[in-house]
Amino acid sequence: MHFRGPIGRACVRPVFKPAVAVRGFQSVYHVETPTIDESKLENQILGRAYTKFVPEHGFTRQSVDLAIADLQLRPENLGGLFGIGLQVSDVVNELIMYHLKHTRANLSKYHDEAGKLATEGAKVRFYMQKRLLDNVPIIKYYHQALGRMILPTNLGTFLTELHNLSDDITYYSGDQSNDFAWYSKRFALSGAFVQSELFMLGDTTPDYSATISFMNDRVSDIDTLGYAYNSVEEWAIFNGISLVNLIKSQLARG
Amino acid sequence: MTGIWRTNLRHVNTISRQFSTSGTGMKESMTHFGFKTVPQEQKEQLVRGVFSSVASNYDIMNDVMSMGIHRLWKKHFIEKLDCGMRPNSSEPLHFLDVAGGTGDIAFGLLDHARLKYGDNKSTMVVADINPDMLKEGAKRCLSTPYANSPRIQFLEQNGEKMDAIEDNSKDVYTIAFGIRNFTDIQAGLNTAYRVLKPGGIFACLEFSQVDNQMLDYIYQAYSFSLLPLMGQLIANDRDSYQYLVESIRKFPNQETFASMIREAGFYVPGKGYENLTFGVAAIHIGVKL
Repeated sequence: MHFRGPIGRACVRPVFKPAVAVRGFQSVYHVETPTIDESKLENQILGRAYTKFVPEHGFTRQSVDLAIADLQLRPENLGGLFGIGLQVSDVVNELIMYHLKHTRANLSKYHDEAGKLATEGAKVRFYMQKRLLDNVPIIKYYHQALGRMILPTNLGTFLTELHNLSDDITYYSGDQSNDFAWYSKRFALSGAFVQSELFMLGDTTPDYSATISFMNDRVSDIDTLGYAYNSVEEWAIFNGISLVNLIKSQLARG
Repeated sequence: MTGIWRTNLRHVNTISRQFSTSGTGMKESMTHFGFKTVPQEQKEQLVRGVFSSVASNYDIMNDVMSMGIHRLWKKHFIEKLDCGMRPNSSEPLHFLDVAGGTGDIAFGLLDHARLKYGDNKSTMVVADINPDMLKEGAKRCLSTPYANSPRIQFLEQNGEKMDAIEDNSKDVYTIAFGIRNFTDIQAGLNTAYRVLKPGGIFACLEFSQVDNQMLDYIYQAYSFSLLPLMGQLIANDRDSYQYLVESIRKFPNQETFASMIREAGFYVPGKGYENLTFGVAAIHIGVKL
């Protein structure tokens, strides 16, 4: 009964400790989730299908069924395993997505080699080349995959993956841009990549040398375009400032 | 204060009201029946009562209440599972459809296997705790190609125990709109794990929680105001439909239920569930490895 009124209340109010200085989370400890989580059963099945059966049977349901049987499971009752909470709802689409993610994750193998290259442009060309040549084992059936990717229902998902690819390539190549060029570089690269893939489908030259030179040309186009864009930007800014100064000086004369 | 509270509590216990929503002292042996709290041993009886009274016009009510959408969900569920013995295989599939009294999932699965894969061998056990629902299913079975066939069997079974089903004996375990009526859902999931063969699949179609708040508001308004009313008008049974609505609300949400499936020992692919119609219903999948 001693503590009555505001004083009393103040006495029983809990004392707040100063915020503890230890942060529970730091980005250094942040482990990046793998592009493909190989511990997942569905990814093991897709992986087996992709490496063992797609080169022979294409991007088909059959490849996946063969892979399930190959893992000592029954494809007869495991149809429901796919399309549960993943981005795409169809087994074959998931197989295609597996191809895209697998080849994208593969790029990280080439960092040492790419490190020896001097310029950003050379690195971009190098990674693009490696990524295009990763299509070779399944190139015979790649038209199936491309055909499915451009279906309106799937387009969004696969465009996201395409952007992830161009983002990875520009990032690995040491892109430092922090203005609108960040976007335009990635968009341009996505475009160049798709063009090169389409070219590759009809390429009959050994080692796909025609595709590689086609890709190099496209990347050079981006460089040229980038130079043109920068020059125009510089010219416009210079003239803009001049105009403002001209107006200011005219006004100052009264 | 504490004195009065204690007296109150004792009072509730001595008269043992079964439908009280107020707190009782015996939490460990109580469970929920819709929004009511009832002793665990009674829930089974109560659920039985609900389904006995709705058995005859179960499907017409489902059609009216879901505006026919439940048929699309079931169709999607069956197509998603895509089960069926392949022509070059020698081992038929063994299905178990739990709480599938009226048999629509069971016939659907067999039809899918027959029409898509030419499967005329796989077997189906329809298990339900409620004999009235099973009778309804057996009656409907007569008008399907599986009438009087040894391939399909109707069994009165408690889904939490499944005494008549051997361990590791089934390839596919399905349960559609049934598991929320279990007294102990986890026991039901553990039993599913027990009866499935390694490599077998557990698939559950059940009402779930709508994640969009705005839609959820509309959905709740619809289900709590209109559904019991429809039950009253069409089936002359308000209480049963009031229970159905409340039991849907009480059922754990997608994430919680997926983790319960994991808890039973299943491997859960992807995020573990697929929402149907904004999450009004959801398909959950588990694989016994």
